[in-house]
Amino acid sequence: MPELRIPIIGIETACASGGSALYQALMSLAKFRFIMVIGVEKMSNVDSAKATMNISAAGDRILDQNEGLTFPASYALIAQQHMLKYATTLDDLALVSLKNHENGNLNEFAHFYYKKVDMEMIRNSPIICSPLRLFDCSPISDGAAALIVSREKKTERDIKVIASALATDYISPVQRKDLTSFKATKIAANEAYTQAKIDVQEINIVEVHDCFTIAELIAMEDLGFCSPGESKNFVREGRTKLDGDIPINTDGGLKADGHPIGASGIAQVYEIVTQLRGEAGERQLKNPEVALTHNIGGIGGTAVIHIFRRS
Amino acid sequence: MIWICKKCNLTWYYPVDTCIYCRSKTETASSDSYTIRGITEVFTPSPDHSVVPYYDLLLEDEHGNFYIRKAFQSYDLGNEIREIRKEIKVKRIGVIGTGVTGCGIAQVSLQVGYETVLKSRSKEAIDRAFKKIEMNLLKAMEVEAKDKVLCNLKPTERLEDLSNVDIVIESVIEDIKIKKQLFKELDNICSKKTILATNTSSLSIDEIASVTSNPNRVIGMHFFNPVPKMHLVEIIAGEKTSQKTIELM
Repeated sequence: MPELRIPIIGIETACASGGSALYQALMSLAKFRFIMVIGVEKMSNVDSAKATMNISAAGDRILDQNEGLTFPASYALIAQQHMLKYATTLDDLALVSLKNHENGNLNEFAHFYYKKVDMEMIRNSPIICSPLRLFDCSPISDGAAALIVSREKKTERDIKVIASALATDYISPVQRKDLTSFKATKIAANEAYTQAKIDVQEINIVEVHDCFTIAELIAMEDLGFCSPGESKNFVREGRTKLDGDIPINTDGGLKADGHPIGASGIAQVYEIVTQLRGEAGERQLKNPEVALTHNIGGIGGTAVIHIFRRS
Repeated sequence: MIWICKKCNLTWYYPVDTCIYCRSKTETASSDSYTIRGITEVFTPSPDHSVVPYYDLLLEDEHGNFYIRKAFQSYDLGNEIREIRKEIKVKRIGVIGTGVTGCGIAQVSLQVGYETVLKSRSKEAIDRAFKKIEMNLLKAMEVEAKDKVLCNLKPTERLEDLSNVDIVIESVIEDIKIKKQLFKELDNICSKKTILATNTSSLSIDEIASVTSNPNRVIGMHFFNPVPKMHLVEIIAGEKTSQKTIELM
């Protein structure tokens, strides 16, 4: 768009592109007054093998992909390690999926807004990579979302960003020591909590990167909402539902809202801002003050965390 | 195999001769056995891995390093296995015979990415087989992918064209005389390392191997039709078939 006479930059960190773009925008505020951050992806009408190949560009070719380790296969191995170590069950994963689909039914922008899902449907869905079933995996979606960031407060509806952190890890999971947790998330979370000067208990609403159901459980643990292995209890007690004490993925998450790769990170922020403004309609939470978004790329190779406060 | 810089406490999973930080010489470490820590059965095909289901194993060596390996058989968690990376890198497969089984074997060989030499007695049979394989590939993949895969198929009438393949799979008529004659010729044409496999359900591997100068590289492979759909292959070791040959197959 040359007639605009403004700089336009593309940011690419795989599934974390949206979060990374916001991170870059916030840093660029030192020079610019208003910055628009756009996340967009068109993924439909491509056969799934081709889509898999394109998405795989974010993985390690030599160590993983030459051996057939696609993203679902990676997360399947991670889920299995989590199950072996902490006795997490398939039903715990199903509960995450069910909760996200229920939230998605209240979000008219969600990919699966109209789809009614129950436990039987999830349990009987085809296996993608054992133990993960179809309902453990986020879909291939089209979507776009945009934000405007500024140093200046313009209206009472503006939401303040109080922390922005990004961390990285090895691309291939085999180069890591622990497969049941993502180091990049932990590093970024610590950095974000320090910047925001808050304790994890003060956060009222969370958007985590649930590209696979197991990723939501691991994110809860890495972000410090519960100790390692405890996430299953939170899910069983319904604490992450809309009426729970720490609602997660109120828009349906990547699972039900959809996962248009570059747009997902921005869509998470859109949901948080909508909730903090009290404009989320049927799925509106009671008076949320502080919120967190967690956006990861690849198999946790990049993690971007933002924290927001109602101003 | 991994490359280690002890000074910097760093590990690489690909060849690194000198440490990228301190420039000192790296050491290599390899393991004789690996423990299976994880396994997943993959049902979704991707362009380089179009034959599903297959398994991905998460292996841990004695130094605590992880590896991912693809396999076509299931393993139990906690079991130990020896390095499954193949010693002889198989790149080229030769298939003799253009019947239903021969075409099926060639198709699967192409689909998993091997260069495939398909040998038949007549030009007509070869043309027919080429068309049949093309049709069957189209059922499994898109036109673009099919074209790419088909570039790896080399149809031929000359047995000499099998001289540089790593494995020959013979799938001609179940006739001991014809097979023995064929293996005698293959023994002269192929390199001493080439594995010679015969697709048979009833004939003696030892008898077929007896006409070759190196019977330890002769093995039986019994395919089931339709080959692209059936995941079962019976591997038949002869009296003199070497352990190395058996493991590779």
